[in-house]
Amino acid sequence: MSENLRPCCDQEGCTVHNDGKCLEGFEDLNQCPHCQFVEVEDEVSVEEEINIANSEEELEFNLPDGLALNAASARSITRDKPTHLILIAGDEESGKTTLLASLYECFLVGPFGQYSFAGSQSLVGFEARCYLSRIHSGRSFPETERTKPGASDTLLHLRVFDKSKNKQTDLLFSDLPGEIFRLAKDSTEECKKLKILHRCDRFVLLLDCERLIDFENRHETFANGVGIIRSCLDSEMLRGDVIIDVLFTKWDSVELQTDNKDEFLAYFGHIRENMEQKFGLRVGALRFFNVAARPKTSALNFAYGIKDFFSLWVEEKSIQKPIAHKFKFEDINALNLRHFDRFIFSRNL
Amino acid sequence: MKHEHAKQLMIGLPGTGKTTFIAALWNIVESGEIPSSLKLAFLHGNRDYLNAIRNKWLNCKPLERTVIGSEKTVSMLLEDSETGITTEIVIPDLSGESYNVQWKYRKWTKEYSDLANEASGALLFVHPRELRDSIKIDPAISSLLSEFDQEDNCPSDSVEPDQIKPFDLDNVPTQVKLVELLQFLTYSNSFHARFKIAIIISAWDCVAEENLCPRDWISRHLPLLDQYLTSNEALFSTRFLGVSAQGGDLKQDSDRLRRMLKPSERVLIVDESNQGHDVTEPIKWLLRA
Repeated sequence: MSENLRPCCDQEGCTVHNDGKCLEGFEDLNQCPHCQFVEVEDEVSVEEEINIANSEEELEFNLPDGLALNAASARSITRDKPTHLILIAGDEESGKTTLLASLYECFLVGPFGQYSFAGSQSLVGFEARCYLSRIHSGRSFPETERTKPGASDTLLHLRVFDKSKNKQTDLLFSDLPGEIFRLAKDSTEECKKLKILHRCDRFVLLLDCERLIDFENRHETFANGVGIIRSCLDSEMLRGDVIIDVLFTKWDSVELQTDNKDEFLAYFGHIRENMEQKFGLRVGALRFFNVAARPKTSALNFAYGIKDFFSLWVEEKSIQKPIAHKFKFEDINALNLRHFDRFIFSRNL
Repeated sequence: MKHEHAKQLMIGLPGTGKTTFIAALWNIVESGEIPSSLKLAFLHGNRDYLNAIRNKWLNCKPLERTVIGSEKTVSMLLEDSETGITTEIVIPDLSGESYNVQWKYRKWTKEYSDLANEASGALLFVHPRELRDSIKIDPAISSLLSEFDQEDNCPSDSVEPDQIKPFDLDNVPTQVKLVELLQFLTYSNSFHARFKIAIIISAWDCVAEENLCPRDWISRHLPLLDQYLTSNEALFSTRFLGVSAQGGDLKQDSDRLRRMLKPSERVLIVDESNQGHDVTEPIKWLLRA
């Protein structure tokens, strides 16, 4: 066989053209009825590529690296267009990076809801985050690489287009390691280091349902989540008009339950009520969603639940509540205000 | 007679049919076998490269990979009988590897930068058999494997660490690379809005049985690229064409192809509603206002 011939297969899922492994299991590829051999050019060696890249030819300019952005490189986006900054927060392994990877994967197969992909300066960053969930990685089970602590380049850029409004929107997602939020929860000083909190339009807290349905860990998991939000609010790092989305991640673990499911659902209801009580009046809005970004069961679609809030991420910026909305009518009377002031407050209710 | 000058980029990863297209193009403009096509106004300059690849094409021989360093810039003086305008078109026949280098090492050479800045349009080539896709690990299959492992008392994820392949930019889906190559163009200070791009699906004969028009084929097989172009109509003016520059499979059809009286009629080119042999069609579109 000519060295210039390479195997090629039309069967979906067959990677023979990449790694020589036949989906049907044939070791002798000539025996596979689906395999064809096509003329291709020789592969360029790594050394040749590097020589090409480092050639003496004058380089005009370096192109953006396509990785996650830092605050400085993100300025090229925020400077030119209104940009929504969405901060994804949560414990280690709560699903922060998987959420973003799955969102990106959705656009690889087509528009996501009413939104089309319009560009990204972080394509390589997204691809690297998706890699371990793909067949090419050699894994049997999908995985997401843990976000390494200490990285300064943590912003992933996505531009979307709404055809019905003929409008593009730029989104920046922060993909921070869970350790940072653990530190921020435990220390006001650490929390104050997260300057990005001031700027974010949306604070998204992930609560891991796999831990919430584990009787040993659930209260600690809930307490950690509350602690993160409280620390950010009490340190005044989150603005009062910020929108907080609480995502119950890995929701497939709840759906797969046969025993105690009602009890788990009741606990989630308790979480909602408790957080609404604690934080509802302190922020622009507090919302709850169930998500399974990469469900382990085919009973739930890939990126389950993301569509429910993604349009809000695109359309909404921060919500400025009128001050009076922070008070109930009974509280106004208790404030011993002048009649005129009470009139102003009551108008705004 | 009005005389103009236009540079066009040919963008495409390795093996996407750029050189074969040029070979077929040279044959058609020089032979005049297709009445509607652009015609060679007159010969000028050095034509040995064009003649060499055209001869291979005529003999139904596969064209070798264009190697970085051996690239040629092709220049043709073409007359558009419809507009009466003669245009010198300049098309660098860049190696697909040079685009791979752009993607992986994120660099433009000065030469390419000058080309990109001066180009009034581009042909972007994709080859149906050279598409790299992203295939997600199926959770249902993973669960099944897990059950088998449990039966055999194996750990649930029995992949050894050294079996996991590291992330490699080569393995990124084709559509992601193509979007990035187009984004690179927009970062240039000289980029002008409504930049014309003709999307050429090579070896169209291989996919004709899908019964899709070229636009729908891109939408199905390269949806990210399709979305990017649709969402950026302010940046790019786009046309989609399927082209079979060889006219068939060289292994199976070369005998039939060689016997054709007019070799130019080997070429098949389709768009939304028309089908023909005029491989200058995308060039005409790029040149016309």
